[in-house]
Amino acid sequence: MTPEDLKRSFPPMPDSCRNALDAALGALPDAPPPARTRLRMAPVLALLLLTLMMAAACAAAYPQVLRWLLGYGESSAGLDALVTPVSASGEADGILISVTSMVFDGRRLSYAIELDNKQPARPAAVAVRSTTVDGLGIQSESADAAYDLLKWVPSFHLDVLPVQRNPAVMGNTCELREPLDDGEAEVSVEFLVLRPSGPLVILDERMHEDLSGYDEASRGEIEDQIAAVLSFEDVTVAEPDQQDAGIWIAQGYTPIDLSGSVLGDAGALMTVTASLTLSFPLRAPEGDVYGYMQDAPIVLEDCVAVIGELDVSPLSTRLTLRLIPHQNTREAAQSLCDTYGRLTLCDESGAPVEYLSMDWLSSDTGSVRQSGGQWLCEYDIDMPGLSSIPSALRVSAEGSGDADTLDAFAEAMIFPLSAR
Amino acid sequence: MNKDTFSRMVTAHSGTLYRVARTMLASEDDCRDALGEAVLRAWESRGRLRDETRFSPWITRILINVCKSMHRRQRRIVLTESIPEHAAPPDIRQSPVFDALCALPEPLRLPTVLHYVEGYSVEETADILSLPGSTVRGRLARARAALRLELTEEGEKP
Repeated sequence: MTPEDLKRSFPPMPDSCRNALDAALGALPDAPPPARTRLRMAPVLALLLLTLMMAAACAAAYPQVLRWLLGYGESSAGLDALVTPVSASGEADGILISVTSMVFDGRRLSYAIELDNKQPARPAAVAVRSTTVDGLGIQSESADAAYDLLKWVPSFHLDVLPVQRNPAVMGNTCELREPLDDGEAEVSVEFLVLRPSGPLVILDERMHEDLSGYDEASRGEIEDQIAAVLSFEDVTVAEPDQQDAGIWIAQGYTPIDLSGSVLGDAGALMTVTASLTLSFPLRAPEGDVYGYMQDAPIVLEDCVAVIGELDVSPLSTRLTLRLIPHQNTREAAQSLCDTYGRLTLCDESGAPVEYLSMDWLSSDTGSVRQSGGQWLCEYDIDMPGLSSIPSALRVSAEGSGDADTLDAFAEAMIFPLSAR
Repeated sequence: MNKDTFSRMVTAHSGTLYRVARTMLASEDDCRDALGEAVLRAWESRGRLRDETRFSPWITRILINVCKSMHRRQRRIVLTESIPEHAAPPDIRQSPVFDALCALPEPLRLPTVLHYVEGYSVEETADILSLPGSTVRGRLARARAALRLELTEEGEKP
């Protein structure tokens, strides 16, 4: 399947949409855009220089964990209040690894890691092997931390502001088994440094392609990646007729593409050359962290609703809702999933909550499962943090149920939030 | 930017705008409304576009925000008004490939369309969606895996 296949799979633009565009273009108001004031050049240049200096200072001061979590998205005052600088670093096989900042809401921990390769001509990859809190291993959630998605340094990608390859920045997100509501704990992170097991070979048609067919930005990115790989020592570029990774692997090479993906089993093609454990303290948060404790199940006409967990913070929004059918059958549980369908979290006024621009994706539909012999429809919602914390969280459903059923659900699902 | 230039550029990018709207909105009516609103908003804020070579990602971002606003408005309507007895049927799907694309959750579907279909670079896609580049790459990888699985099950070559 090619990008052209994807493009061709779209239905053609219907006349209604084409007409809507034409109508909108034909009805553009004549009001001019906001006027730009003409400025004298000298003060403009001075202001520009000052702005650039301030921007550089701000970029340097802007916590890396927020850049990693939000990218270009806006933070919130609540999230800013949960940021803690961290000073934990060490060197392993020529790579200086530093944990620079973290965000912690009592349950979820996100931290940023800076990687500085002291010998940039010899690329290395770093992976987070494990994270423990007071000696207990905790679940890592970030794709950056997966062993098969290695963070190369120098980075192949220019993806963190200020744009740079070395040092490169990665991050990790973890979930504590039990919330830390007061006191302190110690976090320990074990890092692995990996090097290609054999000489690097670049297998990528773009190394030989005429890039003039790409748009300017894509071309720039590809040219930049090409420059990055050609700066590595002892690297081979496969010819267009030599793109079979298996043949190179059989000859002892480690094949990668321009994005840094290892074209084979990373466990066999990359060798762990060093490990490093960094530790730093973790303190119970003092920011906007709220939750809800259910005192009694909610009885609805077709089920009983039990809240397993409801926690809201600027870092994460989590709801575990179990709908227990009155009839203990798989079909009855499935019927609940169909009736209530997709859930939406709303504030006290009924407006859908605004999430910060983070990467967690969770399903907002229910799934059927059995627990202790009881069939139930379970919603396990795990979403980014909220830009502002409401006084109460409301849950609405958009399933196939009739209006009365969905209205009764919405009226029952109102949960006042209290500070944790 | 005058009206003629603006109109010409919108028309040149109409295919992209339609496909992005179609990625986010299930109904043709909603796509029609979103396209009209996005054009108007883009015209009103044209003074903020400093570099006309950035027109395409700029207006695409405006359209995405319009589509998101429509989602939010529709959810409020569901909460506050009675639900009609017979909801409008969904648009008929066109092909297994398109069906597989539509089956992706929106956070995966949108970067996939922007990068693979519309040809925006990863950095441009990240800028449009206000996401880190590494996030976009992760979502593209997950989308590829999901599409491969979906189309293999459907009997199509991935």
